[in-house]
Amino acid sequence: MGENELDLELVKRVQSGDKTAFDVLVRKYQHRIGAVIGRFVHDYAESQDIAQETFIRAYRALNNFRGDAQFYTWLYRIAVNTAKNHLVSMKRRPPTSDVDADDAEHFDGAYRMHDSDTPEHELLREEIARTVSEVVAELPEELRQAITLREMEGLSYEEISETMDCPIGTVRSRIFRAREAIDLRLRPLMDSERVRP
Amino acid sequence: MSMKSMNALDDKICEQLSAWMDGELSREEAMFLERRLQHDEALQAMYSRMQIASSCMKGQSTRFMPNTLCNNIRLALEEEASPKKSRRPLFAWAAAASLAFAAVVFIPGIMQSTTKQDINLANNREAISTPASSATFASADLIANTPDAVSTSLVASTSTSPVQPTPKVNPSSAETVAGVMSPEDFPLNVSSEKKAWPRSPVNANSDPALEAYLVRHNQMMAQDGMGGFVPYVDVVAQDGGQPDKTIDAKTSENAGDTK
Repeated sequence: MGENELDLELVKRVQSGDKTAFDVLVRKYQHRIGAVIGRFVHDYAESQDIAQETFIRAYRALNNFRGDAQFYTWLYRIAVNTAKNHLVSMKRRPPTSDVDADDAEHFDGAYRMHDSDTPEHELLREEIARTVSEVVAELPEELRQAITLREMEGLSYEEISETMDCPIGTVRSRIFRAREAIDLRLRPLMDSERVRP
Repeated sequence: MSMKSMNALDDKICEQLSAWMDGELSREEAMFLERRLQHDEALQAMYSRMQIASSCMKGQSTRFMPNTLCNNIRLALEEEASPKKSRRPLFAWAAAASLAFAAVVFIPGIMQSTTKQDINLANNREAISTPASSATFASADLIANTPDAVSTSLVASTSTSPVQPTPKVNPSSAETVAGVMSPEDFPLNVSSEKKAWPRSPVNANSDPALEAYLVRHNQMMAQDGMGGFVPYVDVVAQDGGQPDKTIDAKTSENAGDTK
């Protein structure tokens, strides 16, 4: 099941009254939405408030979501509008130009899209990215290949099993072990007080 | 978060979490994991870290949001939903009680006032529409009983005039008014009764019975506070076939008095 199908199923569950499914959607997208809002609002506490407002608005409007667009694209638009409205309400000028959700994921060069954060958070982000790269580079070949095919190429477990010529269960296990290795190194960084301003 | 709770996560759950992130978990397993994810803080933290790592590998930008965000959203949504459920009936009952109270307190007064007004208006109409063959209002007797009284015409006096002094209703007379439905039954004011009616005869041919009726009608309306005639003005009637020159003369004379 692809990411979009997975989201659509969660949305349908929310629409039928399953609140747990909405929690799952929040947990799944909170960090990415946080990044989107961070491009408009620098203050970390403020961006949390806007993220909360974004998800509340999304929940209220979820019955109107028909799945014509990807859930994240829809959520992205709500986040951008909420952040802009917040800036207007605070008598601050929102950026005049806008970027599509897909482009925004990788757009880091322009000033407006640059995630202005506290130096501490910027440092932490760099440290996390460096750690992940280091761990992936240090992984055994079969683990590195499995996690790379999944995360960077976006292949399904079945496709990876065909590529690597191994059972799906083995793919699942390899991907997990790669993630576990990364997690072991990230845990001390992210459990620290540095991520809680 | 303690290391103890971290270690409590077994490999099976962690592997399920990894597969669930990729959408590779069966429906039953996914439901089980999602329920656990709601309450297991260690699992939530691990999920966050795995998401950050995944975003880093994909080149996506992320901003770490605290795990409390999800709980805050859930609480906000629950708070938003609960007042509607719990307070709506309360508001409905409060509104209904207020309306009932208002109805009990105000409606009888309004009804009474409206009824009196209707009676007076009906009497007014009845009096005004009396056939000319029997009697017509040619004019009001504009002899003022009080020094500050002003001259006015009958037509003007049928509507509430700004210069008209507010009639004072004494409780006893108000009760009488409330109980009387027709000027014929209305007891004539004693002080007025002592005077000869009309106090300023203008026409010898006027109908005393009709005049008495009109005087009662006038007093009744005056006591009701909804009077059509100026309360201190005598009302006279005359045969419609005989225009009364005396009235015009009297009016002019009174007008001169007030100057």
